[in-house]
Amino acid sequence: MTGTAPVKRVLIVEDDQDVRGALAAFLEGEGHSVVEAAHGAEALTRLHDSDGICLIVLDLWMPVMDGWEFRAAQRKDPTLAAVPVVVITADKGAEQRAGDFGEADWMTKPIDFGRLLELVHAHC
Amino acid sequence: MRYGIAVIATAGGLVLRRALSTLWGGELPYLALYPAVLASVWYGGIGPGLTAIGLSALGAVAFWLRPDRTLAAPDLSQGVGLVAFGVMNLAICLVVEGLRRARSRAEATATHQVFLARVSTHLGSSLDYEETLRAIAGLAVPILADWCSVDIVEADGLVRRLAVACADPSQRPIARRAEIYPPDPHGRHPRTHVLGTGESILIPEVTDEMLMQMAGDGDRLSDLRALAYRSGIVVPLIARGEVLGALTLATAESGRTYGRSDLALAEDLGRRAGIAVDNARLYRAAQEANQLKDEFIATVSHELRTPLQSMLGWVKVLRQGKLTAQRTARAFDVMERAGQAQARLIEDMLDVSRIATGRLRTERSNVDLGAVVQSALDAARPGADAKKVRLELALDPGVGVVAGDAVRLQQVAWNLLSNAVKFTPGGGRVEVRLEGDGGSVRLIVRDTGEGIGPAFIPYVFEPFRQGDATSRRRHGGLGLGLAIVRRLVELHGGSVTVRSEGRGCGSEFCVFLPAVSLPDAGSAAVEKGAV
Repeated sequence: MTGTAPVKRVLIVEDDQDVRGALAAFLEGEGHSVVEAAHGAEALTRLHDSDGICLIVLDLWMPVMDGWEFRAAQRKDPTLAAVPVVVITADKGAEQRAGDFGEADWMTKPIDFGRLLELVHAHC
Repeated sequence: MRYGIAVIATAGGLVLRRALSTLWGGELPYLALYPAVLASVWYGGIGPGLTAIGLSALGAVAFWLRPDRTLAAPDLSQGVGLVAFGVMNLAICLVVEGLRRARSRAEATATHQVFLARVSTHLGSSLDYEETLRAIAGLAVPILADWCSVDIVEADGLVRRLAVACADPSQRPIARRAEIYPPDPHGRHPRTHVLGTGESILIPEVTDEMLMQMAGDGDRLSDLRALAYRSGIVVPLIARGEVLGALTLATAESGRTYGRSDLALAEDLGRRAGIAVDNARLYRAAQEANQLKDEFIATVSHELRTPLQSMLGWVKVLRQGKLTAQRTARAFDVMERAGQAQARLIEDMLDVSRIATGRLRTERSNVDLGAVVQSALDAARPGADAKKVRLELALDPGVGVVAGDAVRLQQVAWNLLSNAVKFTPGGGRVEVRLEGDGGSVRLIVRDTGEGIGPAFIPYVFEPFRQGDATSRRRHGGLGLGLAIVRRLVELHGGSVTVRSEGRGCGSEFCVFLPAVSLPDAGSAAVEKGAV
């Protein structure tokens, strides 16, 4: 990939392998590149290792490092803070309880795939 | 002092009558002495009244009947007059004393009513019963007692001292020393008896032997002696037949002595306070249950949405029509698995509902526990492999057969195993052992996972409980699996225990089942369990 125009990628952070697989397969089916992470800590590694991540699709309830902790770490890191986030969560009241989460789009599972595509098109 | 009233009143009467001698001479010698007796009995009581009668009689004899101081027998009319004076004034004394007592009873009743009204206001004003009981101890002195203490039996059975109040500010240092519940290992203190039996105790006179019996050590005895207790009452705080604590009242410097009416008032107070404590505790329990319910509903919603997302996501992907045949087959597998996961969640919720209503039933037949554990292990292996958690099995071949429900026993093994895998990070190990010693069978599931904090250990087997909010967010789940395990094991006549050295040290669950060999139990017997 080096030398050509950088590939834009969507980072999917989701601990449920089956949900993550479906999201990845769907976005790839629509012609997007995807990077996957099973929890927040892995997502931070992927963000540092991969070029061109244009959107983070973030689950909240995850082992090792949950979505809230990931978001706090991301916002603290000036090289990562600007990457937009769309939260996908099965926790319906999470947005009200989010507190200081910074700007993000929120979607409750099961998500609207049309809207996810719109967000990917808007940011990537 | 009281008898001084009799002397002064009588002397006054005599002087007044002497002053009026110019008017009446020797006639009407007792005229000014009636008011003297009346004043003596009204202000001094029956004793001074009788004294006034005696002094008046002597005075009348000395000044008017025998002014010449001779000791000759009185004539008939003088004698009748003297006796009539005595009898009439005795009657006056009795009537007035009756009135005095009625008045002091009425005053005491009024004081008690005012006190109970204040108590009721306090009891109804707050659901913080600790604060309320402290306020009541403060109200009890000095109206009811010179000293008042309140002790409460906590949920764990330990007794805690809530409040000590004293009427005399100079005694506060002793009160502060008494604010720790005094241990009474030998059960000598009357309060220990009251807490144990729920019967109240009235001690009209506190003796030094009693103090010596109550005091645990030398310091306490000298404290108790310094207080100079006069009289005491201990009543239970009681509600719905349960002793929730004790209220102790004592008099000292006021010199009051408790009687039956004081005991009745204290018992009334104990009942009212007991009901207030009970209500406050019920309210707290209801609040807690309500909060658990809200958390549980949020968790259920979360847990059902995740497999739903998986199913709908893969439907969307299949609709795109871009998957290879192999990936299409995998997509169907995933969807099937998600559907089964949802079905299991719903089944768990129904099981917990059945446990709560005592309708959880188990079939009973001969079950090869080794085969049951093996199949639970086979079901757990894909998940463990995906997480890189090592599963180790040590089966004792001599374990044999237990009497029970194969499906439910497999549920027990699966719940323990899937829990162990869930809480063990990649690279960890889950060890399953099945051992038997003839009489019983032990299934041990030990993991190298994150373990359980000591504060949570007592709640591990309670439904809807999860370590904490962070744990719930990290691991998901409904928090029902272990509650179901415990009930199922109990329905099989067994027990389950948990052990963990704490956070980060892994956990060990051990299921004990009786190894009963049934004679060919082909037909199912239904056992109904009450929870």
